[in-house]
Amino acid sequence: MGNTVLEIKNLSKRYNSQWALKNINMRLEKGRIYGLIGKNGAGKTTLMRMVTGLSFPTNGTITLFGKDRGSNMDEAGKRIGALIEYPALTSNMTAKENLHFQCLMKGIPNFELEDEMLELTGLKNTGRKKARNFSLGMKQRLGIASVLLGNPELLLLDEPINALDPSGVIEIRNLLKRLREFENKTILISSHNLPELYQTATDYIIIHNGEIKEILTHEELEEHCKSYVSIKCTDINQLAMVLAKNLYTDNFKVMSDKSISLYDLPGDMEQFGSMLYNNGIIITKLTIVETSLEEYYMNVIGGDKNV
Amino acid sequence: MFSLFRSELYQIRKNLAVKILFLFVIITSVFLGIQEASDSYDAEYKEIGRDYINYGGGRLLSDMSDGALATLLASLLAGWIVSQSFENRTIQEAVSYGRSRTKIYLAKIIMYFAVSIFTCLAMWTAGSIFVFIKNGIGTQKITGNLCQWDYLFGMVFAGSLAYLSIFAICAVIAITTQKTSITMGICIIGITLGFTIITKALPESLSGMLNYTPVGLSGQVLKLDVSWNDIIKTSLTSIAWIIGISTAGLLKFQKTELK
Repeated sequence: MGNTVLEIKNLSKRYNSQWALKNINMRLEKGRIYGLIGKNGAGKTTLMRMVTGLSFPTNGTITLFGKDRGSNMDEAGKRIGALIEYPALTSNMTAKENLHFQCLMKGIPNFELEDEMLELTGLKNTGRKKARNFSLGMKQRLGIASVLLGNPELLLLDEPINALDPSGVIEIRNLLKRLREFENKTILISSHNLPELYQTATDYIIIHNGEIKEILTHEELEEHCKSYVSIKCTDINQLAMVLAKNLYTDNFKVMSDKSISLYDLPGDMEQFGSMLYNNGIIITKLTIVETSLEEYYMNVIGGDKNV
Repeated sequence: MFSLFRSELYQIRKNLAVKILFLFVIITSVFLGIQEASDSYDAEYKEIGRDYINYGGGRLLSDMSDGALATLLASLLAGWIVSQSFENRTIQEAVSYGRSRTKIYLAKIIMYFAVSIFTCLAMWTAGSIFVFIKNGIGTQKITGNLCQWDYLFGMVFAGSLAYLSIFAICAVIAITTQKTSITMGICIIGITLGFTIITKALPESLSGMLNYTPVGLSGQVLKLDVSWNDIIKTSLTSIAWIIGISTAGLLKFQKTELK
Protein backbone atom coordinates (compact mmCIF):
# COMPACT_ATOMS: atom_id res chain seq x y z
CA MET A 1 0.00 0.00 0.00
CA GLY A 2 2.90 2.33 0.80
CA ASN A 3 4.04 2.18 -2.79
CA THR A 4 0.61 2.85 -4.23
CA VAL A 5 0.51 6.18 -5.99
CA LEU A 6 -2.95 5.99 -7.49
CA GLU A 7 -5.80 3.67 -6.65
CA ILE A 8 -9.08 3.68 -8.50
CA LYS A 9 -12.07 1.75 -7.22
CA ASN A 10 -15.32 1.09 -9.08
CA LEU A 11 -14.92 4.24 -11.14
CA SER A 12 -17.65 4.94 -13.66
CA LYS A 13 -18.47 7.88 -15.83
CA ARG A 14 -21.67 8.42 -17.74
CA TYR A 15 -22.37 11.11 -20.33
CA ASN A 16 -26.13 11.28 -20.79
CA SER A 17 -27.07 7.66 -21.38
CA GLN A 18 -23.63 6.59 -22.58
CA TRP A 19 -21.17 5.00 -20.18
CA ALA A 20 -17.68 6.30 -20.96
CA LEU A 21 -16.12 4.26 -18.15
CA LYS A 22 -17.58 1.26 -16.42
CA ASN A 23 -16.47 0.05 -13.03
CA ILE A 24 -12.75 0.75 -13.42
CA ASN A 25 -10.45 -0.74 -10.79
CA MET A 26 -6.73 -0.24 -10.98
CA ARG A 27 -3.71 0.56 -8.88
CA LEU A 28 -0.50 2.28 -9.94
CA GLU A 29 2.65 1.50 -8.00
CA LYS A 30 5.55 3.85 -7.52
CA GLY A 31 8.39 3.78 -10.04
CA ARG A 32 6.61 2.02 -12.89
CA ILE A 33 5.57 3.07 -16.37
CA TYR A 34 2.02 2.03 -17.20
CA GLY A 35 0.98 1.90 -20.82
CA LEU A 36 -2.71 2.63 -21.24
CA ILE A 37 -3.83 0.93 -24.41
CA GLY A 38 -7.16 1.39 -26.11
CA LYS A 39 -8.74 2.54 -29.31
CA ASN A 40 -10.18 6.03 -29.78
CA GLY A 41 -13.14 6.50 -27.47
CA ALA A 42 -12.11 3.60 -25.23
CA GLY A 43 -12.03 5.90 -22.20
CA LYS A 44 -8.30 6.62 -21.82
CA THR A 45 -8.58 10.40 -21.82
CA THR A 46 -11.74 10.36 -19.69
CA LEU A 47 -9.88 8.31 -17.10
CA MET A 48 -6.96 10.75 -17.03
CA ARG A 49 -9.28 13.75 -16.90
CA MET A 50 -11.00 12.35 -13.85
CA VAL A 51 -7.73 11.64 -12.06
CA THR A 52 -6.67 15.25 -12.62
CA GLY A 53 -9.99 16.74 -11.53
CA LEU A 54 -10.95 18.12 -14.94
CA SER A 55 -13.96 15.84 -14.98
CA PHE A 56 -16.07 14.35 -12.21
CA PRO A 57 -16.83 10.65 -11.69
CA THR A 58 -20.41 9.39 -11.75
CA ASN A 59 -19.46 6.63 -9.29
CA GLY A 60 -16.37 5.33 -7.59
CA THR A 61 -13.34 6.67 -5.78
CA ILE A 62 -9.92 7.91 -6.77
CA THR A 63 -7.21 7.78 -4.14
CA LEU A 64 -4.02 9.70 -4.81
CA PHE A 65 -0.98 9.16 -2.60
CA GLY A 66 -3.16 7.44 -0.03
CA LYS A 67 -5.78 10.18 0.23
CA ASP A 68 -9.12 10.74 -1.43
CA ARG A 69 -8.72 12.90 -4.54
CA GLY A 70 -11.76 15.08 -3.92
CA SER A 71 -10.71 16.36 -0.52
CA ASN A 72 -7.01 16.30 -1.19
CA MET A 73 -6.66 17.77 -4.67
CA ASP A 74 -4.69 20.85 -3.55
CA GLU A 75 -2.01 18.65 -2.05
CA ALA A 76 -2.17 15.77 -4.50
CA GLY A 77 -2.33 17.95 -7.60
CA LYS A 78 1.12 19.35 -6.91
CA ARG A 79 2.49 15.82 -7.08
CA ILE A 80 0.89 15.19 -10.47
CA GLY A 81 2.03 16.35 -13.87
CA ALA A 82 -0.53 15.93 -16.61
CA LEU A 83 -0.36 16.38 -20.34
CA ILE A 84 -3.83 15.57 -21.58
CA GLU A 85 -4.72 15.67 -25.27
CA TYR A 86 -2.61 18.70 -26.13
CA PRO A 87 -0.24 20.87 -24.12
CA ALA A 88 -1.21 24.01 -22.20
CA LEU A 89 0.61 26.67 -24.18
CA THR A 90 0.15 30.36 -24.71
CA SER A 91 0.83 30.79 -28.40
CA ASN A 92 2.19 34.32 -28.25
CA MET A 93 4.86 33.44 -25.70
CA THR A 94 8.28 31.92 -26.31
CA ALA A 95 9.16 28.52 -24.83
CA LYS A 96 10.92 30.16 -21.88
CA GLU A 97 8.06 32.60 -21.31
CA ASN A 98 5.58 29.72 -21.34
CA LEU A 99 7.60 27.93 -18.69
CA HIS A 100 7.95 31.13 -16.69
CA PHE A 101 4.17 31.55 -16.80
CA GLN A 102 3.72 27.96 -15.62
CA CYS A 103 6.20 28.54 -12.78
CA LEU A 104 4.23 31.60 -11.67
CA MET A 105 0.91 29.80 -11.92
CA LYS A 106 2.16 26.77 -10.01
CA GLY A 107 3.94 28.91 -7.44
CA ILE A 108 7.32 27.38 -8.22
CA PRO A 109 9.93 29.84 -6.97
CA ASN A 110 12.89 28.26 -8.75
CA PHE A 111 13.02 29.92 -12.18
CA GLU A 112 16.32 28.14 -12.96
CA LEU A 113 14.18 25.08 -13.61
CA GLU A 114 12.94 26.75 -16.79
CA ASP A 115 16.36 26.47 -18.45
CA GLU A 116 16.86 22.95 -17.11
CA MET A 117 13.57 21.82 -18.62
CA LEU A 118 14.29 23.51 -21.94
CA GLU A 119 17.64 21.76 -22.03
CA LEU A 120 16.06 18.44 -21.08
CA THR A 121 13.47 18.64 -23.85
CA GLY A 122 15.80 20.01 -26.50
CA LEU A 123 14.16 23.45 -26.74
CA LYS A 124 17.03 25.50 -25.38
CA ASN A 125 17.83 27.07 -28.74
CA THR A 126 14.35 28.23 -29.68
CA GLY A 127 15.22 31.76 -28.55
CA ARG A 128 12.52 34.34 -29.28
CA LYS A 129 10.46 32.05 -31.47
CA LYS A 130 6.83 32.16 -30.35
CA ALA A 131 5.03 28.93 -29.49
CA ARG A 132 2.54 29.53 -32.31
CA ASN A 133 5.40 29.03 -34.77
CA PHE A 134 6.50 25.75 -33.19
CA SER A 135 6.03 22.44 -34.96
CA LEU A 136 3.60 19.98 -33.34
CA GLY A 137 6.54 18.02 -31.99
CA MET A 138 8.10 21.10 -30.42
CA LYS A 139 4.79 22.01 -28.82
CA GLN A 140 4.52 18.51 -27.43
CA ARG A 141 8.03 18.71 -26.00
CA LEU A 142 7.28 22.09 -24.47
CA GLY A 143 4.18 20.54 -22.93
CA ILE A 144 6.30 17.80 -21.40
CA ALA A 145 8.77 20.41 -20.12
CA SER A 146 5.97 22.30 -18.38
CA VAL A 147 4.58 19.08 -16.92
CA LEU A 148 7.97 18.32 -15.40
CA LEU A 149 8.36 21.78 -13.85
CA GLY A 150 6.78 20.92 -10.53
CA ASN A 151 8.92 17.77 -10.20
CA PRO A 152 5.77 15.60 -10.10
CA GLU A 153 5.81 12.07 -8.72
CA LEU A 154 3.04 10.88 -11.01
CA LEU A 155 2.99 11.76 -14.69
CA LEU A 156 -0.16 11.35 -16.75
CA LEU A 157 0.71 11.60 -20.41
CA ASP A 158 -2.00 11.32 -23.00
CA GLU A 159 -0.49 10.55 -26.40
CA PRO A 160 2.75 12.39 -25.59
CA ILE A 161 4.62 11.19 -28.64
CA ASN A 162 1.94 12.31 -31.06
CA ALA A 163 3.45 14.26 -33.91
CA LEU A 164 7.00 13.74 -32.74
CA ASP A 165 9.61 12.90 -35.34
CA PRO A 166 11.56 9.65 -34.87
CA SER A 167 14.40 11.34 -33.01
CA GLY A 168 11.86 13.14 -30.82
CA VAL A 169 10.18 9.82 -30.02
CA ILE A 170 13.52 8.32 -29.00
CA GLU A 171 14.34 11.37 -26.86
CA ILE A 172 11.01 11.21 -25.05
CA ARG A 173 11.28 7.45 -24.60
CA ASN A 174 14.74 7.83 -23.07
CA LEU A 175 13.54 10.72 -20.93
CA LEU A 176 10.64 8.70 -19.53
CA LYS A 177 12.92 5.76 -18.83
CA ARG A 178 15.40 8.05 -17.06
CA LEU A 179 12.61 9.59 -14.99
CA ARG A 180 11.56 6.14 -13.86
CA GLU A 181 14.99 4.71 -13.28
CA PHE A 182 16.72 7.66 -11.62
CA GLU A 183 13.85 9.59 -10.07
CA ASN A 184 11.49 6.70 -9.35
CA LYS A 185 8.57 8.49 -10.98
CA THR A 186 5.35 6.75 -11.83
CA ILE A 187 4.11 7.34 -15.35
CA LEU A 188 0.76 6.54 -16.92
CA ILE A 189 1.10 6.94 -20.65
CA SER A 190 -1.51 6.38 -23.30
CA SER A 191 -0.53 5.87 -26.88
CA HIS A 192 -1.69 4.37 -30.11
CA ASN A 193 1.90 3.60 -30.95
CA LEU A 194 1.99 0.12 -29.43
CA PRO A 195 5.49 -0.85 -30.57
CA GLU A 196 6.74 2.34 -28.91
CA LEU A 197 4.77 1.62 -25.77
CA TYR A 198 6.25 -1.87 -25.74
CA GLN A 199 9.72 -0.34 -25.52
CA THR A 200 8.78 2.05 -22.73
CA ALA A 201 6.20 0.54 -20.39
CA THR A 202 6.74 -1.80 -17.48
CA ASP A 203 3.03 -2.56 -17.21
CA TYR A 204 0.05 -2.45 -19.53
CA ILE A 205 -3.57 -1.57 -18.96
CA ILE A 206 -5.85 -2.58 -21.79
CA ILE A 207 -9.06 -0.60 -21.87
CA HIS A 208 -11.91 -1.20 -24.27
CA ASN A 209 -15.35 0.43 -24.47
CA GLY A 210 -14.88 1.97 -21.04
CA GLU A 211 -13.87 -1.27 -19.32
CA ILE A 212 -10.47 -2.51 -18.27
CA LYS A 213 -9.94 -5.76 -20.08
CA GLU A 214 -6.57 -6.68 -18.68
CA ILE A 215 -3.72 -5.37 -16.57
CA LEU A 216 -0.43 -7.12 -16.98
CA THR A 217 3.26 -6.57 -16.45
CA HIS A 218 5.79 -6.41 -19.25
CA GLU A 219 7.06 -9.84 -18.20
CA GLU A 220 3.58 -11.30 -18.34
CA LEU A 221 3.06 -9.76 -21.72
CA GLU A 222 6.33 -11.21 -22.95
CA GLU A 223 5.17 -14.56 -21.68
CA HIS A 224 1.94 -14.16 -23.62
CA CYS A 225 3.70 -12.83 -26.65
CA LYS A 226 6.61 -15.21 -26.71
CA SER A 227 7.53 -16.83 -29.96
CA TYR A 228 6.65 -20.43 -30.69
CA VAL A 229 7.02 -22.92 -33.49
CA SER A 230 3.82 -24.07 -35.13
CA ILE A 231 4.24 -27.51 -36.66
CA LYS A 232 1.81 -29.41 -38.84
CA CYS A 233 2.49 -33.01 -39.83
CA THR A 234 0.83 -36.22 -40.92
CA ASP A 235 0.75 -37.81 -37.43
CA ILE A 236 0.24 -35.38 -34.60
CA ASN A 237 0.39 -37.99 -31.82
CA GLN A 238 3.71 -39.30 -32.99
CA LEU A 239 5.05 -35.75 -33.19
CA ALA A 240 4.03 -35.13 -29.59
CA MET A 241 5.85 -38.26 -28.48
CA VAL A 242 8.98 -37.37 -30.48
CA LEU A 243 9.09 -33.90 -28.97
CA ALA A 244 8.71 -35.24 -25.44
CA LYS A 245 11.29 -37.99 -25.96
CA ASN A 246 13.92 -36.11 -27.95
CA LEU A 247 13.61 -32.54 -26.71
CA TYR A 248 12.67 -33.52 -23.13
CA THR A 249 9.91 -30.95 -23.12
CA ASP A 250 6.22 -30.82 -22.43
CA ASN A 251 6.07 -27.11 -23.20
CA PHE A 252 3.87 -27.55 -26.26
CA LYS A 253 0.19 -27.54 -27.02
CA VAL A 254 -1.87 -29.56 -29.44
CA MET A 255 -4.04 -27.06 -31.22
CA SER A 256 -7.53 -27.49 -32.61
CA ASP A 257 -6.27 -27.21 -36.19
CA LYS A 258 -4.21 -30.39 -35.65
CA SER A 259 -0.97 -28.51 -35.30
CA ILE A 260 1.41 -28.38 -32.37
CA SER A 261 2.64 -25.14 -30.88
CA LEU A 262 6.09 -25.67 -29.41
CA TYR A 263 7.03 -22.92 -26.98
CA ASP A 264 10.65 -24.01 -26.34
CA LEU A 265 12.27 -22.67 -29.46
CA PRO A 266 14.91 -25.03 -30.86
CA GLY A 267 18.31 -23.37 -31.17
CA ASP A 268 19.13 -24.80 -34.57
CA MET A 269 16.12 -25.16 -36.84
CA GLU A 270 18.02 -27.24 -39.40
CA GLN A 271 19.03 -29.76 -36.74
CA PHE A 272 15.46 -29.73 -35.37
CA GLY A 273 14.07 -30.47 -38.85
CA SER A 274 16.43 -33.40 -39.40
CA MET A 275 15.63 -34.81 -35.95
CA LEU A 276 11.93 -34.87 -36.79
CA TYR A 277 12.65 -36.41 -40.20
CA ASN A 278 14.86 -39.08 -38.67
CA ASN A 279 12.02 -39.98 -36.30
CA GLY A 280 9.61 -40.51 -39.17
CA ILE A 281 7.73 -37.22 -38.91
CA ILE A 282 6.59 -35.82 -42.24
CA ILE A 283 6.27 -32.07 -41.74
CA THR A 284 3.63 -30.37 -43.87
CA LYS A 285 4.07 -26.90 -42.42
CA LEU A 286 6.52 -25.32 -39.98
CA THR A 287 6.24 -21.68 -38.95
CA ILE A 288 7.91 -19.54 -36.32
CA VAL A 289 5.12 -17.39 -34.88
CA GLU A 290 5.77 -14.15 -33.04
CA THR A 291 2.91 -12.37 -31.28
CA SER A 292 3.32 -8.63 -31.03
CA LEU A 293 1.72 -6.34 -28.47
CA GLU A 294 -0.67 -5.29 -31.22
CA GLU A 295 -1.77 -8.86 -31.83
CA TYR A 296 -2.10 -9.49 -28.14
CA TYR A 297 -4.19 -6.33 -27.76
CA MET A 298 -6.40 -7.42 -30.63
CA ASN A 299 -6.90 -10.80 -29.00
CA VAL A 300 -7.82 -9.22 -25.67
CA ILE A 301 -10.38 -6.83 -27.10
CA GLY A 302 -11.88 -9.56 -29.22
CA GLY A 303 -10.37 -9.27 -32.65
CA ASP A 304 -10.80 -7.10 -35.72
CA LYS A 305 -14.52 -6.62 -35.30
CA ASN A 306 -13.87 -4.44 -32.28
CA VAL A 307 -11.38 -2.09 -33.87
CA MET B 1 -3.80 33.00 -4.73
CA PHE B 2 -0.99 35.56 -5.09
CA SER B 3 0.87 33.30 -7.51
CA LEU B 4 -2.29 32.99 -9.60
CA PHE B 5 -2.59 36.78 -9.74
CA ARG B 6 1.03 37.06 -10.78
CA SER B 7 0.54 34.50 -13.53
CA GLU B 8 -2.62 36.27 -14.72
CA LEU B 9 -0.79 39.57 -14.84
CA TYR B 10 2.11 37.98 -16.71
CA GLN B 11 -0.29 36.42 -19.20
CA ILE B 12 -1.98 39.77 -19.85
CA ARG B 13 1.36 41.54 -20.21
CA LYS B 14 2.27 39.05 -22.91
CA ASN B 15 -1.12 39.17 -24.62
CA LEU B 16 -0.54 40.99 -27.89
CA ALA B 17 -4.25 41.39 -28.69
CA VAL B 18 -4.94 43.07 -25.34
CA LYS B 19 -1.94 45.37 -25.78
CA ILE B 20 -3.00 46.35 -29.31
CA LEU B 21 -6.58 46.95 -28.17
CA PHE B 22 -5.38 49.15 -25.32
CA LEU B 23 -3.08 51.18 -27.56
CA PHE B 24 -5.79 51.52 -30.21
CA VAL B 25 -8.32 52.74 -27.64
CA ILE B 26 -5.91 55.28 -26.17
CA ILE B 27 -4.67 56.60 -29.51
CA THR B 28 -8.23 56.91 -30.85
CA SER B 29 -9.45 58.57 -27.66
CA VAL B 30 -6.55 61.03 -27.64
CA PHE B 31 -7.12 61.83 -31.32
CA LEU B 32 -10.86 62.36 -30.83
CA GLY B 33 -10.24 64.22 -27.57
CA ILE B 34 -7.87 66.69 -29.27
CA GLN B 35 -10.28 67.10 -32.16
CA GLU B 36 -13.29 67.71 -29.93
CA ALA B 37 -11.41 70.24 -27.82
CA SER B 38 -11.22 72.53 -30.85
CA ASP B 39 -13.18 75.80 -31.05
CA SER B 40 -15.37 74.52 -33.90
CA TYR B 41 -16.70 71.69 -31.69
CA ASP B 42 -17.26 74.17 -28.84
CA ALA B 43 -19.57 76.19 -31.09
CA GLU B 44 -21.28 73.10 -32.45
CA TYR B 45 -22.13 71.66 -29.02
CA LYS B 46 -23.32 75.08 -27.86
CA GLU B 47 -25.58 75.33 -30.86
CA ILE B 48 -27.28 71.98 -30.24
CA GLY B 49 -27.80 72.79 -26.58
CA ARG B 50 -25.14 70.43 -25.22
CA ASP B 51 -22.74 73.04 -24.03
CA TYR B 52 -21.83 70.90 -21.01
CA ILE B 53 -19.75 68.63 -23.28
CA ASN B 54 -17.35 71.54 -23.78
CA TYR B 55 -16.29 71.22 -20.13
CA GLY B 56 -14.32 68.48 -18.41
CA GLY B 57 -17.12 67.16 -16.21
CA GLY B 58 -19.66 67.10 -19.01
CA ARG B 59 -17.23 65.61 -21.48
CA LEU B 60 -16.39 62.78 -19.09
CA LEU B 61 -20.11 62.19 -18.57
CA SER B 62 -20.67 62.09 -22.33
CA ASP B 63 -17.81 59.62 -22.85
CA MET B 64 -18.94 57.38 -20.01
CA SER B 65 -22.52 57.34 -21.31
CA ASP B 66 -21.41 55.41 -24.40
CA GLY B 67 -22.32 52.04 -22.92
CA ALA B 68 -22.10 50.20 -26.21
CA LEU B 69 -18.41 51.04 -26.58
CA ALA B 70 -17.63 49.97 -23.03
CA THR B 71 -19.53 46.71 -23.59
CA LEU B 72 -17.67 46.14 -26.86
CA LEU B 73 -14.32 46.54 -25.09
CA ALA B 74 -15.41 44.29 -22.22
CA SER B 75 -16.64 41.66 -24.67
CA LEU B 76 -13.34 41.54 -26.52
CA LEU B 77 -11.42 41.38 -23.26
CA ALA B 78 -13.69 38.64 -21.89
CA GLY B 79 -12.82 36.57 -24.94
CA TRP B 80 -9.10 37.23 -24.78
CA ILE B 81 -8.61 37.07 -21.03
CA VAL B 82 -11.14 34.47 -19.90
CA SER B 83 -12.19 32.20 -22.78
CA GLN B 84 -8.76 32.03 -24.37
CA SER B 85 -7.38 30.50 -21.17
CA PHE B 86 -9.72 27.57 -21.68
CA GLU B 87 -8.71 27.26 -25.32
CA ASN B 88 -4.99 27.25 -24.61
CA ARG B 89 -5.64 24.93 -21.66
CA THR B 90 -3.92 27.05 -19.04
CA ILE B 91 -7.01 26.86 -16.81
CA GLN B 92 -7.07 23.07 -17.20
CA GLU B 93 -3.38 22.99 -16.27
CA ALA B 94 -4.06 25.01 -13.13
CA VAL B 95 -6.95 22.73 -12.15
CA SER B 96 -4.94 19.57 -12.71
CA TYR B 97 -2.09 21.07 -10.68
CA GLY B 98 -4.48 21.16 -7.77
CA ARG B 99 -5.21 24.88 -7.65
CA SER B 100 -8.69 25.32 -6.26
CA ARG B 101 -11.32 26.21 -8.82
CA THR B 102 -12.53 29.06 -6.63
CA LYS B 103 -9.07 30.66 -6.52
CA ILE B 104 -8.53 30.17 -10.25
CA TYR B 105 -11.91 31.75 -10.95
CA LEU B 106 -11.36 34.67 -8.60
CA ALA B 107 -7.89 35.41 -9.96
CA LYS B 108 -9.20 35.27 -13.51
CA ILE B 109 -12.34 37.34 -12.97
CA ILE B 110 -10.69 39.98 -10.78
CA MET B 111 -7.93 40.44 -13.34
CA TYR B 112 -10.55 40.66 -16.10
CA PHE B 113 -12.51 43.28 -14.16
CA ALA B 114 -9.32 45.22 -13.47
CA VAL B 115 -8.13 45.24 -17.09
CA SER B 116 -11.59 46.03 -18.48
CA ILE B 117 -12.28 48.93 -16.16
CA PHE B 118 -8.71 50.20 -16.44
CA THR B 119 -9.07 50.25 -20.23
CA CYS B 120 -12.42 52.05 -19.98
CA LEU B 121 -11.05 54.58 -17.46
CA ALA B 122 -8.03 55.20 -19.68
CA MET B 123 -10.34 55.67 -22.66
CA TRP B 124 -12.63 58.09 -20.79
CA THR B 125 -9.68 60.01 -19.33
CA ALA B 126 -7.82 60.25 -22.65
CA GLY B 127 -11.00 61.43 -24.36
CA SER B 128 -11.81 64.17 -21.88
CA ILE B 129 -8.45 65.41 -20.64
CA PHE B 130 -7.97 67.93 -23.47
CA VAL B 131 -11.36 69.55 -22.82
CA PHE B 132 -10.47 69.63 -19.11
CA ILE B 133 -7.21 71.41 -19.90
CA LYS B 134 -8.83 73.83 -22.33
CA ASN B 135 -12.10 74.79 -20.62
CA GLY B 136 -11.83 73.43 -17.07
CA ILE B 137 -14.29 71.29 -15.16
CA GLY B 138 -17.33 73.52 -15.80
CA THR B 139 -19.72 75.58 -13.75
CA GLN B 140 -22.78 74.68 -11.70
CA LYS B 141 -25.01 76.29 -14.34
CA ILE B 142 -23.57 74.30 -17.23
CA THR B 143 -22.28 71.00 -15.82
CA GLY B 144 -24.44 70.79 -12.68
CA ASN B 145 -22.93 68.84 -9.82
CA LEU B 146 -20.18 67.61 -12.11
CA CYS B 147 -18.42 70.93 -11.70
CA GLN B 148 -17.28 69.59 -8.33
CA TRP B 149 -14.45 67.08 -8.18
CA ASP B 150 -16.02 65.00 -5.42
CA TYR B 151 -19.21 64.48 -7.42
CA LEU B 152 -17.16 63.79 -10.52
CA PHE B 153 -15.11 61.10 -8.77
CA GLY B 154 -18.29 59.71 -7.23
CA MET B 155 -19.92 59.48 -10.67
CA VAL B 156 -16.85 57.79 -12.17
CA PHE B 157 -16.69 55.35 -9.24
CA ALA B 158 -20.38 54.43 -9.27
CA GLY B 159 -20.53 54.46 -13.09
CA SER B 160 -17.55 52.10 -13.24
CA LEU B 161 -19.21 49.73 -10.79
CA ALA B 162 -22.41 49.89 -12.85
CA TYR B 163 -20.42 48.92 -15.94
CA LEU B 164 -18.68 46.16 -14.00
CA SER B 165 -22.10 44.62 -13.35
CA ILE B 166 -22.45 44.30 -17.16
CA PHE B 167 -18.86 43.07 -17.49
CA ALA B 168 -19.66 40.37 -14.92
CA ILE B 169 -22.25 39.01 -17.36
CA CYS B 170 -19.53 38.91 -20.06
CA ALA B 171 -17.26 37.00 -17.67
CA VAL B 172 -19.93 34.40 -16.95
CA ILE B 173 -20.61 34.01 -20.68
CA ALA B 174 -16.86 33.55 -21.23
CA ILE B 175 -16.68 30.88 -18.51
CA THR B 176 -19.69 29.10 -19.96
CA THR B 177 -18.76 29.09 -23.64
CA GLN B 178 -14.99 28.59 -23.15
CA LYS B 179 -14.53 29.78 -26.75
CA THR B 180 -13.05 33.17 -27.57
CA SER B 181 -15.04 33.95 -30.70
CA ILE B 182 -18.36 32.68 -29.31
CA THR B 183 -17.88 34.75 -26.14
CA MET B 184 -17.21 37.88 -28.17
CA GLY B 185 -20.18 37.23 -30.43
CA ILE B 186 -22.64 36.56 -27.62
CA CYS B 187 -21.42 39.47 -25.53
CA ILE B 188 -21.36 42.05 -28.32
CA ILE B 189 -24.57 41.07 -30.08
CA GLY B 190 -26.42 39.35 -27.24
CA ILE B 191 -25.91 41.95 -24.52
CA THR B 192 -26.41 45.01 -26.74
CA LEU B 193 -29.40 43.51 -28.50
CA GLY B 194 -30.73 41.87 -25.34
CA PHE B 195 -30.64 45.12 -23.39
CA THR B 196 -32.40 46.97 -26.22
CA ILE B 197 -35.10 44.32 -26.47
CA ILE B 198 -35.62 44.25 -22.71
CA THR B 199 -35.87 48.02 -22.59
CA LYS B 200 -38.38 48.15 -25.45
CA ALA B 201 -40.40 45.06 -24.55
CA LEU B 202 -40.90 45.75 -20.86
CA PRO B 203 -44.21 47.47 -20.04
CA GLU B 204 -43.85 51.05 -18.89
CA SER B 205 -45.08 50.16 -15.41
CA LEU B 206 -42.15 47.78 -14.97
CA SER B 207 -39.48 49.74 -16.82
CA GLY B 208 -38.53 51.57 -13.62
CA MET B 209 -37.25 48.26 -12.29
CA LEU B 210 -34.57 48.24 -14.97
CA ASN B 211 -32.84 51.08 -13.15
CA TYR B 212 -31.92 48.53 -10.50
CA THR B 213 -30.50 46.05 -12.98
CA PRO B 214 -27.26 46.15 -14.99
CA VAL B 215 -29.36 47.40 -17.94
CA GLY B 216 -30.10 50.72 -16.32
CA LEU B 217 -27.73 51.13 -13.39
CA SER B 218 -25.25 53.37 -15.16
CA GLY B 219 -28.05 55.73 -16.17
CA GLN B 220 -28.68 56.45 -12.49
CA VAL B 221 -25.34 58.17 -12.02
CA LEU B 222 -24.36 59.29 -15.50
CA LYS B 223 -26.19 62.59 -15.32
CA LEU B 224 -25.35 66.20 -14.57
CA ASP B 225 -27.51 66.44 -11.45
CA VAL B 226 -26.08 63.30 -9.89
CA SER B 227 -26.50 63.22 -6.12
CA TRP B 228 -24.67 61.35 -3.38
CA ASN B 229 -27.83 59.34 -2.90
CA ASP B 230 -27.60 58.21 -6.56
CA ILE B 231 -23.91 57.45 -6.22
CA ILE B 232 -24.26 55.40 -3.04
CA LYS B 233 -27.41 53.58 -4.16
CA THR B 234 -25.96 52.74 -7.58
CA SER B 235 -22.63 51.66 -6.07
CA LEU B 236 -24.27 49.30 -3.60
CA THR B 237 -26.73 47.89 -6.14
CA SER B 238 -23.89 47.38 -8.64
CA ILE B 239 -21.74 45.61 -6.05
CA ALA B 240 -24.69 43.35 -5.23
CA TRP B 241 -25.12 42.51 -8.91
CA ILE B 242 -21.39 41.96 -9.41
CA ILE B 243 -21.26 39.59 -6.45
CA GLY B 244 -24.48 37.84 -7.49
CA ILE B 245 -23.52 37.35 -11.13
CA SER B 246 -19.94 36.38 -10.26
CA THR B 247 -21.16 33.85 -7.71
CA ALA B 248 -23.43 32.32 -10.32
CA GLY B 249 -20.37 32.11 -12.61
CA LEU B 250 -18.32 30.51 -9.85
CA LEU B 251 -20.98 27.86 -9.19
CA LYS B 252 -21.12 27.16 -12.90
CA PHE B 253 -17.32 26.92 -13.14
CA GLN B 254 -17.11 24.57 -10.17
CA LYS B 255 -19.49 22.16 -11.86
CA THR B 256 -18.05 22.53 -15.33
CA GLU B 257 -16.24 19.57 -16.83
CA LEU B 258 -13.14 20.93 -18.50
CA LYS B 259 -12.29 19.60 -21.92
